[in-house]
Amino acid sequence: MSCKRWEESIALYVGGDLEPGEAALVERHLADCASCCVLAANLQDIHLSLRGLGMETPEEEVFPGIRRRILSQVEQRRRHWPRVAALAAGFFLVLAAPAVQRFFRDVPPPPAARIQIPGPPLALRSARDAPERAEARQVRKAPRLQRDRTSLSRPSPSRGRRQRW
Amino acid sequence: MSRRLLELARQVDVTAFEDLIKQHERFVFGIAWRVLGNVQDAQDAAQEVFLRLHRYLNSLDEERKIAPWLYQLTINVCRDIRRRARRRCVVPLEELWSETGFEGAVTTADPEVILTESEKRRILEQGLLRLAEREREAIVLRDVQGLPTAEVAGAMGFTENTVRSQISSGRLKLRAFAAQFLRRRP
Repeated sequence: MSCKRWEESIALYVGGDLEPGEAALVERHLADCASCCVLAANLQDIHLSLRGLGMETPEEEVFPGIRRRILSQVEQRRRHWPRVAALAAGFFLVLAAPAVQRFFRDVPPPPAARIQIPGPPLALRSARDAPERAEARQVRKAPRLQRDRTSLSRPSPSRGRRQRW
Repeated sequence: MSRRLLELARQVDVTAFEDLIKQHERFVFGIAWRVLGNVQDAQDAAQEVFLRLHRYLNSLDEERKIAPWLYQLTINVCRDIRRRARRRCVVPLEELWSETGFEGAVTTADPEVILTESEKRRILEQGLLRLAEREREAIVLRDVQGLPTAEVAGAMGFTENTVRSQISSGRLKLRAFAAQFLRRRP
């Protein structure tokens, strides 16, 4: 029962999985313990049989069969690739067409070219524009007058209340 | 040799790719066979491993050896297959008894004297299928295929200490399984 703690180390020892220092400790214990020696012998036997299991191979026809399947799939993939790529490109174009159309529709028209034509000389311009300017000044003044009138006619709430008092 | 083949296979040389398969197929198949427990699944796994190899040929690092990468890939593919199948080939001991044809054999429980090497292997084959998945992977890579612990750890994606612990518990369980099997014999 006291050898229970050695089991794990012995299991590693038989496969050569211990550091030299640990292996030496196990060897020292094995020299003194008969039951652990039996355990080590059994585990060693299992280890060797497992190695033999690795040497076993399936029937020879398994490998050409696997190879054939792999290569046919590789070949199939290679043959289909251009077709798949073309299909994907077509699909992408169909999907992208409305977006492209919308993009071009939403683009603002190019800015109109501004050409500056030199006007008449200053003196001539002021004489010609004099009546128009006067009219424009009148129009600009008119809303202010109107606003003044409305502010006078409409009593403020406080004023209204005062009237009621 | 492997690097040259890799280079040729990258240049869409089917023959070079086939040679690359030939070089590694036994090892890949061997791992998959023992981890999955049957030839059919192992064939599927090997096929998937080499198809993935073909897919990633161009992204493979030339400086890195191809074999450790293939072991890792094989373990991952086996895990995928197992996850998909969700079945374990667990055979009851009684059934195993009749399968291995040991009826009438000597009744002593001393494996060294009675069992032939082939019989021992059949028992261990069944024992492997009863181990936890990670223990089985560790035992297959370390004991069956003989890879160093560092490579086993790399393929499984664990630390060396974790792998060592799985190896030791796997070996002890296999021993217990073999002893139990022999005790049950009439």
